[in-house]
Amino acid sequence: MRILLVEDEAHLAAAVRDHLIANGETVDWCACLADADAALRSTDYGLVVLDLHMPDGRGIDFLRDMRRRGDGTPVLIASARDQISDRIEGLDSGADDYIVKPYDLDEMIARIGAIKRRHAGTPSPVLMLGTLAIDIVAKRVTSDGEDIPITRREWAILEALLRRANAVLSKEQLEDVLYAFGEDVNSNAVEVHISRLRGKLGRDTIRTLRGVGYSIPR
Amino acid sequence: MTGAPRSIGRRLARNLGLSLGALWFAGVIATGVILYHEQGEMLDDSLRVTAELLLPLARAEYDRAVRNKAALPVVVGPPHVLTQEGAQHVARYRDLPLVFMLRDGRGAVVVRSANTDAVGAVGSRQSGYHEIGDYIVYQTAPDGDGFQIVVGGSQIERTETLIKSVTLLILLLALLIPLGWLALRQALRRATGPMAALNRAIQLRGVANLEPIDFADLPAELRPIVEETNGLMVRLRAALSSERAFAANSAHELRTPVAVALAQTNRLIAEMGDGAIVERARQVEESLKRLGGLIERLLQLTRAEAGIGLSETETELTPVLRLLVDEFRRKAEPARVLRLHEPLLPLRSRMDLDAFGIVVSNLLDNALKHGDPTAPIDVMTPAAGSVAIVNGSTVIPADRLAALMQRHARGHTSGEGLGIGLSIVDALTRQAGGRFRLYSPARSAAGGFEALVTLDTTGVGASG
Repeated sequence: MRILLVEDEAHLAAAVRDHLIANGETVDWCACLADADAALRSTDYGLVVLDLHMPDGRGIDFLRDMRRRGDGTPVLIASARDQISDRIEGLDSGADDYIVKPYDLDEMIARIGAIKRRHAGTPSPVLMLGTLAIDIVAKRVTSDGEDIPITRREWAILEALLRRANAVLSKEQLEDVLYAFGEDVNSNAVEVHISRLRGKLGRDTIRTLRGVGYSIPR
Repeated sequence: MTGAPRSIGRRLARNLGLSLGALWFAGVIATGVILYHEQGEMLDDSLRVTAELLLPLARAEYDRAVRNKAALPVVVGPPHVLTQEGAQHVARYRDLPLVFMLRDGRGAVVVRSANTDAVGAVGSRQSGYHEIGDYIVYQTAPDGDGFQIVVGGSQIERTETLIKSVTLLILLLALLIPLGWLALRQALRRATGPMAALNRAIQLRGVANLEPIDFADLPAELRPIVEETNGLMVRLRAALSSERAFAANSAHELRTPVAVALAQTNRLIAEMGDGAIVERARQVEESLKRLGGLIERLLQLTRAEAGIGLSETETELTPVLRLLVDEFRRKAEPARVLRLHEPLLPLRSRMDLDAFGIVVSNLLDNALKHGDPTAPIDVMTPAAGSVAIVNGSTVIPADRLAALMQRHARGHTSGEGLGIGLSIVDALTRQAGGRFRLYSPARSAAGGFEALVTLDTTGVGASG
């Protein structure tokens, strides 16, 4: 999943970004709200991690603007503002969850997993797809109890397709979840990863609509 | 200062009443004195006029007696036998409270009223007023034949008349006293009405309401007080806001560096794999988490001491309780059974939302740290406006329970903490007019520990 990290503290942002990437996510980091707004308008993100205390404005206003213009991208607020009224204000403004600094990065990963599940309409972290059991939180795929090894980029594509099951995602949309800003894009990377996933999960798991894109029927 | 505060209205009524009473008394005395003198002058004049009018009549009586060769002096009135004309005079003068005698040119009394003993001592021929015994007498100047008449009026009679007049005056004025008192009370009530209205307005608005008091209809004497009070409330509001802003900024300034250190340590541990050095990094990670907890407690303490307990508006606090129970369920490590007993009863109160959040967080934190890890934690609302959090525990003696409320008192378990959580709960609950109680065993069980917060719901809903 491609995540937009909005955080002005560079050292914290670096650690969060590294941890998210290590957990199979693609991360774009913005140190101010203006950059975040531009990124959000140009790219389809799976989630925004938002700090409220930003140098060029209030994160809560940024969130309200998002919701006002109909942007339903899930938002996890990560803030030092610890009062219950701050949390209620954040959630009432359209945030999906609120985590208070200092937080454990694994706790953040767990919160992101819970948001993903809620948005995928699957309260359980384990999705059944034929004989496949896909644990969204543990990022683990098993078939009849046997682990199937999945690389970080393969997982990003699989998760993006699962998150919007039955919908068709274009090659460009899948490239968005593979590469952060500034990374070199390999022109046939999506086809390669789809081919590998089919090899591991079964040919019919991912359907191709020629000239349109890919989908996972459920 | 001791005793109940004194009422301005009562003091005014008493002082004005006493002053008016004293003035009334002085007025009665002054009126009596003036009346005495004026009445004296009037009676003296009356005595003189009577003497002047009586002189020719008495001369006529005397001439008649001389003509008839009657014995002198002629006594007008019983017990003496009178002539026909004399009887007419007696009938004419009997009711006069006067004595008189007519003297001839040699000073001999030739005509007199029945009782002239009292004035008989007027030896002088000098005309004018004389005081003789109980009588005031007036003697006319001698007429052409040297005749003089002496007319006397009784002083007792005068005094009685004065007493009657003054008594009548006192009675009339006494009738005015209750009327005056009623008018005074009415006037005072009208005058102190704005004060009473201001008093009621301040009482009704509640201690947390720092909105300016409306003084449009207040009298000029009260306006400066209300203006100053409004100024004070503006400053108090600003001070409270800056305290809150300080706590919020401190939270950011203190938490962010710890967040950076913790996140970097998390990454170090993730990147180092296994080994002895990882164990050290985990210790650092634990210390940073503990530091985060301590910062949270200190910020809570700052907020509690800034007096954030009471809000200006009523709030239903059950959503806060649900939110926090849900949050603690997720973050409890290792996982614990946290049961929220539905349906929740209303928790509508003037307690500040953030203060209630701090109270519930501390109590849940306390239950997680110090409760039996194998027993569930129960969160319930035993009555409207009450929250109880019950955890498993051995029974804690009463003296130990009381000590837990004090600052830096630590639980009997190995759970870490500053020992200020329950004292913060107590302080915030008191600020909001509520009560905080600890029970062990829990009220609904044979064992365990129960923390009960009872919110102040007085007047809740009344203001809509």
